[in-house]
Amino acid sequence: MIPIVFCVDDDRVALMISKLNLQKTQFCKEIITAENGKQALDYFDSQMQLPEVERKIPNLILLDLNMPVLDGWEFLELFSNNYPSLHEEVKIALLSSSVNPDDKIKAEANPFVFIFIDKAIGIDNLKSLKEHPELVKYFS
Amino acid sequence: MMLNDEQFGFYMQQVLDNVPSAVVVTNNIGNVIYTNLFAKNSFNLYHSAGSESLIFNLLRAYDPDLEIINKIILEPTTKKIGVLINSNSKNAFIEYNIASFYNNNLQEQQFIFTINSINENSWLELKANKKQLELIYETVDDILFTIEVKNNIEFIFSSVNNAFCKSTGYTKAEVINANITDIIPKSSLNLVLLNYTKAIESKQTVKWEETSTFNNEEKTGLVTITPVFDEINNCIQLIGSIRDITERKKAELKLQLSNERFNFVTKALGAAIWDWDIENDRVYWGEGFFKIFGISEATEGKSFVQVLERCHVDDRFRIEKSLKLILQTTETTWSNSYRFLNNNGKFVQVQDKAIIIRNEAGKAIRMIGALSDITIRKAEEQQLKLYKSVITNTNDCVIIAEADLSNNGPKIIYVNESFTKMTGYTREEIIGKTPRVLQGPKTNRNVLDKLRKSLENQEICEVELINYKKNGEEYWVNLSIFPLIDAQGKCTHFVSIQRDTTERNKHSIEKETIFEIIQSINKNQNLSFSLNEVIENVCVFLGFHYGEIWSINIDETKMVHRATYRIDDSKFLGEINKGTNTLEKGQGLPGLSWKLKERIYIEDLQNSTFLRKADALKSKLSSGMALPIYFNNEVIAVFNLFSEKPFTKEQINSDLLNKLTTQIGAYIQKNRKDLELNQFFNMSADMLAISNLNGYFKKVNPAFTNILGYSEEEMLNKPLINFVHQDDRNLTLAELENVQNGKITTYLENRFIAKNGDVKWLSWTCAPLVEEALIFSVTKDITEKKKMDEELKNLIKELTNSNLELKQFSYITSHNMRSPLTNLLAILDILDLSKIDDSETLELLSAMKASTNHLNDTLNDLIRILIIKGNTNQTLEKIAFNDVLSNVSDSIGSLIKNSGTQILANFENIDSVYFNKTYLESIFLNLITNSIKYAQPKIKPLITIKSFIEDGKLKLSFSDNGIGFNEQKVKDKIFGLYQKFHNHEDSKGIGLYLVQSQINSLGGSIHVQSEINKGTTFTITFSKT
Repeated sequence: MIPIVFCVDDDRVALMISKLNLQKTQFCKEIITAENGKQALDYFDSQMQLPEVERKIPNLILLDLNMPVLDGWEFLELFSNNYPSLHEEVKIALLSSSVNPDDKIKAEANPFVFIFIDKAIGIDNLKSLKEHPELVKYFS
Repeated sequence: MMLNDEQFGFYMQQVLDNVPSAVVVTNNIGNVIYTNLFAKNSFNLYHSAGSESLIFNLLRAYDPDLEIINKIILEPTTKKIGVLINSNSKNAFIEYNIASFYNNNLQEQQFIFTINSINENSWLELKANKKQLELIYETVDDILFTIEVKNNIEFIFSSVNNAFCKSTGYTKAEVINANITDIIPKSSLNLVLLNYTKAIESKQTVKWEETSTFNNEEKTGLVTITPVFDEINNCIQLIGSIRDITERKKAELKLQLSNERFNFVTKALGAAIWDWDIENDRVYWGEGFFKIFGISEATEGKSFVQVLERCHVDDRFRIEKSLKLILQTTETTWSNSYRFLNNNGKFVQVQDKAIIIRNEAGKAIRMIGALSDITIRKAEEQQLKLYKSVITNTNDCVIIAEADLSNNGPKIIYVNESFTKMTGYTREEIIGKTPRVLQGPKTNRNVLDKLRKSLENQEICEVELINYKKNGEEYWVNLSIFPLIDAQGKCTHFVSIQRDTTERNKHSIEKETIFEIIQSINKNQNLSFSLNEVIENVCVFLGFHYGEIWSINIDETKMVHRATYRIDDSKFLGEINKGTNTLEKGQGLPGLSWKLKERIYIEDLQNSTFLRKADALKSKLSSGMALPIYFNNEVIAVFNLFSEKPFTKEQINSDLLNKLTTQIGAYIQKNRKDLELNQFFNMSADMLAISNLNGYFKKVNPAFTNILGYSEEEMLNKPLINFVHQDDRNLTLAELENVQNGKITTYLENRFIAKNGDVKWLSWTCAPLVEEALIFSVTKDITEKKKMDEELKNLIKELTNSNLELKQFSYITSHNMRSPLTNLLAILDILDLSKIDDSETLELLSAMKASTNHLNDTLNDLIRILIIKGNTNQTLEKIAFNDVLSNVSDSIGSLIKNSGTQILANFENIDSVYFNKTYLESIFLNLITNSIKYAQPKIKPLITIKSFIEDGKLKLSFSDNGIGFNEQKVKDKIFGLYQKFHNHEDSKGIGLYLVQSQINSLGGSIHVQSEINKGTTFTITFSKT
């Protein structure tokens, strides 16, 4: 199981579904959530203020693209700029119901993003994610 | 011891009686008062009383010139001579001195004569000399005088002669014993004294010329002064003479002039003058002998015999004889020709002409002759003979006329053989007449005036004019006239050389006519106008009364009456086809000539098939001829020529016409072409222009002026760049430079400012003609197109923008729709139905799940289409058809299996294509599933897929044995969105739309053939293999 998964999505229903499915598939030990990129960044900012042992740094972020205040792309930019050291530690999966193919191309070009998943994330998605090379280590 | 008088007398008596000379003493009147013994014995002179004793009488008896002797006694100076009768009663010839003394006793002047006898010869000589000297002294015109010199400084006149008195106006008494200072005018005195002194000091004769005024008359004299010295070298006397050269000076001057004249004449005559003094046998040669024969000793006098040595030995005897003979006659002239030796040792042929001067008795005393070298003249004579024969026999006419330009005109004095032949006049008829008889009405007056002016100015003149023969026939003649000028510079004759140039003129007029014709054709853009000039020239030159030119239409179906010439209004040939001026090929005289390609001559129009007979009769035209004009051996036009009389040979077969018919064809053709081109140029809607390399328009067509509103003049006067929009000038100039550098074709769009200020967009295509330094351009007004382009551009921009917006909108819309839908799907997925007991709720939840899935499918289809449509830049890759088929078969393996579908694939011809892999898989998937979906009930689907090349394109066909559809009904709609043709449960009406979209997006196409219950075939045509 992945220790901590960070779900960032403005759609509360989608958040709820993600949480339910994550629990059902025993995907992670702990789920933390944020409703937009700003909140997500704030979380990292506050955690990074803490001593290293007290920090709760998520291992995977399920990041929605279309969000108010600070969208997924903006978060990615700021996050990668502010915390390049977390690159190895934090894997980011983009989660979107966007139909614009450009989004997918853009996502694949971003080094922080290891996968682009069509919303909403279902049990099948999560099952296949467990086998993803980047994450498989948590489930063996 | 002193002698007393008696003693002295005695001694003197003894002395006197013993001297060998006769001594006679006379008193002052000449009575002899003493004679000595010698005088008594030798001369019988006695001292006696009476007149006989008078010495003068004695002397007078023997000397007729007593007066002079008397004079001499009065002026006792020199020895005198006389004759006395000696003791033998014979004449004794004497010389005597006279001395005078004053006898104090008797108180009178007495004279002592000392007389010596001399022999007769001496006497005669002395007498002659004396007498002559005396005579000369007193009678010469020269002034003679003697001056006594005292102390070298005082000069007293001691004697002067008559001439002296005559010239000076003084008497002898006034002059003699007078000091020269009182006689010689003051103005001359210094010179005189200077020269006297010079003569004394140099002891030589001094000569000078002196001019003095005596008697109010200016005299010029040549003065000669000779000094006389005594034993001790004292100058005692000056003997002077003055030659009055006043007259001589004048004469000399005259002589000089006349000599010069003589010389000139001699020179002018080219003759050497000789003068033979026959009496003294002296021949004098004038300077002509030097000039002409180089003989320098010319002026020396030689004897006749000496002179004759210069005569050639073969001629000498003849000449000598001839001269001797003539001298014995009374002839006064003599002439002969002989060979004369010049200074070079060569003999020259001379003509010798002389006059003989005879004295009263008729004796020849002098002969004056002129010798002229006629060697050249001899040759000239030969030449002259040659000339004469040439003139007589030459083909050119030679006329010699007296130079008389008065009213009667020059009188002809000679004509040669050719003249009589040319004009028909005999020599007798024409000699004495004036050349004006040859002139006539066509003789050009202006030329005659020019001729006359030249002759008046004695200039050589060459003219060409028409003259008339005796029979009235006219002929062209080239006259070359030059005046003959005599030695006095007077024009005496005119020589005229004439040549009949009728033939030559005919040729040159013919040439001129052709030249004129061709020039007029070239000059005029209007074909009809120039053809009118052609026909006029032809008719006038060849004497036709009526002429036409018919030219053949450009499409060579008809000929058109283009030009007419009428000698006057009476001549008129009407139209052939009523109301038109055209002819068919073969119709009428011109039409026939065109058809037959040959000259047709009809001598009698009235008895021919000539179409316009009636008109010809009215116009009195009796004969006609049609003559084709050729271009490249094709008839291009026809001359139609008419005359009142039958044609002459010349008219039928004229060189001019023959030349014209071959030469003007090209011009007519060119003009016809030009006409067409001009038509193009003028009618073209495109703007056509010719510019020079300096950027000026040289010619613009009406379209140009119409579109821009400027006149042609305005366009041509300014550099073309001035018309260009400010913003386009640099571009235009750069392009112009390219063209100037020989860039062949240039396309350029720029803006011109029209006269009304409008901006006109023009598109230019230019081509330079480098060797002509011209640029040809075709220009289109693209202002409207530009406007439309601009609008279109804006429209596209707008559309693109709205398209983008729409796309964005559709993305957002679909995203926003999808988000809740995916949630819904997830929820339904998570929902555990086992926990729900109510069967109705369960049923409703199941329905909701089905609806949600359907909504999701539909939305996904739509999104896929959106992606395909919006995606224009597809990356292509080489895809093997087999790979695609196996992928698709795998993905729908259960469907294929369950339906019992059989797929026959044949990709042997072409196994791959450049395409988008996803699309191709989608296409395979859709078409295969379609075939399975629409299979006929109870018949297992059979799908045949094959690739092939048709019409050079790669094609892929999918054929099935399904239910098919009514092609007529649905063909247009089958690929439409949401078109469902079957009430099939799975039909969404989107699959084929998707397929077509995918194919179209990559430039391919798809079409379908179908038959109900037979099957359907989809054929894809790829744009790339």
